Amino acid sequence: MTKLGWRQLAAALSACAMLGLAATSVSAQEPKRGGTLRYGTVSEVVSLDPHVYGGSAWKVLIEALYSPLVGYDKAGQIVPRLAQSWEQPDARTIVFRLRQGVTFQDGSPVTADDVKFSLDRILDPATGATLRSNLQDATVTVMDEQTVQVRKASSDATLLSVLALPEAAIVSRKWVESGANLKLRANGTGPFLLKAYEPSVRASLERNPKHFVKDQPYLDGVDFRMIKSDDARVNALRSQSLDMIDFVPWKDIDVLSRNPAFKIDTAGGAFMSIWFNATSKPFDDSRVRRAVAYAVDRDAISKAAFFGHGKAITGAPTPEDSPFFNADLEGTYKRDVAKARELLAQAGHADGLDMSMLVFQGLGIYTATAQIVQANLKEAGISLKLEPVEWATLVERKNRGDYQSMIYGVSVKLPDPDAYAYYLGADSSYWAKPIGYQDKELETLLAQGREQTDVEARKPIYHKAERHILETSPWVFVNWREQAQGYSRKVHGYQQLGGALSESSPGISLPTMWLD
Amino acid sequence: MFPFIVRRLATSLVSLALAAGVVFIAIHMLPGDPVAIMLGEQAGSDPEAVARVRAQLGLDQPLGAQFAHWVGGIATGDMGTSLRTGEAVADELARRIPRSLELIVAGLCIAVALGVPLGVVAARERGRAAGVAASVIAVAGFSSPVFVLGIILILIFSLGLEWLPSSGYVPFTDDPALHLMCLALPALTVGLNFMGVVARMMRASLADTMSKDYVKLARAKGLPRSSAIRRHALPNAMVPVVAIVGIRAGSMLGGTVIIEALFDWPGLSSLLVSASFARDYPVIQGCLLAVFAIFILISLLIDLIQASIDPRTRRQTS
Repeated sequence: MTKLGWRQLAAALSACAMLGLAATSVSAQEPKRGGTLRYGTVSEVVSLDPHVYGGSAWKVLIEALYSPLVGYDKAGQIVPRLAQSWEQPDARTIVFRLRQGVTFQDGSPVTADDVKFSLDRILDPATGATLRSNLQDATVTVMDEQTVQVRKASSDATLLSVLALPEAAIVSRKWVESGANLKLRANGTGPFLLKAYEPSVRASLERNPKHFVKDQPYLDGVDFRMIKSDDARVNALRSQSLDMIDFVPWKDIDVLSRNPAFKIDTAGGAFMSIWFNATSKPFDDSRVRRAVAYAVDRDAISKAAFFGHGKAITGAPTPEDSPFFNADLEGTYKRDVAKARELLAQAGHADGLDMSMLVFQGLGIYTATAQIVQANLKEAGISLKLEPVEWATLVERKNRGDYQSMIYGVSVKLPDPDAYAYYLGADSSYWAKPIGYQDKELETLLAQGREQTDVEARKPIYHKAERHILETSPWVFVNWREQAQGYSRKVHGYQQLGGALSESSPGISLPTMWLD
Repeated sequence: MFPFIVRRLATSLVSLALAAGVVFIAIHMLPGDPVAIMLGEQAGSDPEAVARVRAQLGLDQPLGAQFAHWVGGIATGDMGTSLRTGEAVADELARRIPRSLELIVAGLCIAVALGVPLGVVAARERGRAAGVAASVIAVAGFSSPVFVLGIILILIFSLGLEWLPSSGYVPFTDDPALHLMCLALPALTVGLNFMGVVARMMRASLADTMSKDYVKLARAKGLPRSSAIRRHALPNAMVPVVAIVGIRAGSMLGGTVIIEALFDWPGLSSLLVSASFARDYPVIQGCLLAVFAIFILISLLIDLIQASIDPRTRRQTS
């Protein structure tokens, strides 16, 4: 009761603070031109190849330097980028009409042929492109100089939202074929141009005066500084060496929020989960997996591992603001040790069970989560052995299917429920393929969902799929983790989005961000 | 002197070649695939894409062939290309090594400038208040870990007094003043930490030298204590101090990981660490080889310096 009272008080206080700020900042809402935003990022950008995902900072940088055919705006809606318009004659085809007069950084014009070349480059396995599996079976046809058609082999409701991701950037055929090093140089059509770049250290961007959106960007430039150390990044913001940082460490969110000089925006863009090797003993039995789901104390993890900046997932991992969110599933898995023991007994483990878990040792959120899970499972009669490993080892063992269980942080892949096909689909080498997991019923539902383009018709399909996923529990969903951006009060125009667009938020906002 | 240098150079080359072989084998034995990490979780788990990219980078070749290729490249001055960044390893090293050297040299200068006087005071004033104070400062310096020392300095000078940036690196050519301001705190952290070692070494060595007959003789012939120390004891007492400074300089290359991370100083250590986590083999190999080469070079230099300070060293080794 006292805690509730405290929370309400805090909410009331922050509401007052926001009202006060709104009142003072109304007069200062007119965007100003000029200035350079100094942005500190936790992830190191080591390659500028726009088709191979390279971390959250990479995503922002690529969105600033390149443009896809379409993109997302600050409200999460799909808007024109290099394509000025498009139409969907059927559920597997999109025809894009390109803007006139757009040029790459080197001055050459953007043509339909460049679009074809770029999408074909994504489809080429030798590129190692991130969206290759999403675009598989797509054929790209140049209709005329300004028109291009993208067609999938079967209906695909996700096609437009995939083409709107920064990883679907359009590159110049001439430039790439001339042997340019895409990892080190950039030649894009984005709001900013690359001025200087040192891998894993810094990137300096300057305003693209010929950007196709009139009067944007407002900033003269952006300086990216890649600062892996959490404390160094926070200190640089505090001492005003930086204007904005990403991944505000969870321990610092509250402290910085209380400081009137800074604003902290958070949104849930990734969730923690426990992955099982669901095709070998003991986790080939869904009762054992569900026992784990009942044993885990999601609130304790949110509080202890994320300093209160996590939110338990008791249902399915669909963001609350998604039209596909199903409130009925909330509360499916709450901590219930008796039930966990009962399920274990049914599965023939009444006298206890030994299991092991791979844990990435480089981040406190992983190790703290694992330790709490270990304590939780002990109460249910499972003795959990933690195996701390570094990232490279974890990736290798995951891809080999060489593990019993592991803690994995999953960032929402698509602003579309077809993300489940990526997470759990039998064809996806993300999780299912290396261990040979296949769930016929789920496959059927996911295929149905992909073929429908009407949101209302898709909803019941995905609700059914989510219920099935929870009943079989191939993964245990633990909690949403808040991702926070922190910035000084002189930075304006930033909009934090949740879900799949959380990582892209700075990239989407950059053209309309400005400094006081 | 000349045959001495030649012999030292020859043994140095042999140890460098041995080191190269050990490094190559060791890092290829580590679990983890650079391509799977490089392509990220989506494409990195796609076996077809991983195989194609591996082939492109030549990682599908047998290890022996890869080693021969690498050694052959080095012989012609080509250290290979970073798997992740697509940049020549030599270019990355050429950018990183000077920054590391700058940090280490600045740190060692601070350590010597503060540590030598501190050690002299501690030795001269043994048993008196000043000597005890000097010893306490020295012990405090080397016994506080760099991350504690560094954070204290950040708290005082950047968050408190707001004199210096808390972290960062600005190229000297962009802004010389800001460059030096960014250098100040990490160099001070290196310096204060090592100052203690220098002071202890100086104190022990000087105390030992002061009891030698030739110092007593100098005093007996009427030299004041201070000039006896300055002109006779100090030069001899410096020999072990120079050695330890040199060894430390060598081991600090690639060993300033914590300081570089804390102050976001993009030197050789942070490159080595991030390349190791990503299994960027050519970069790891290049970094370690550079560290070995510089280490060997430094120990060669120390021998030469010691030989010029102390002719006996020259005679013994040659």
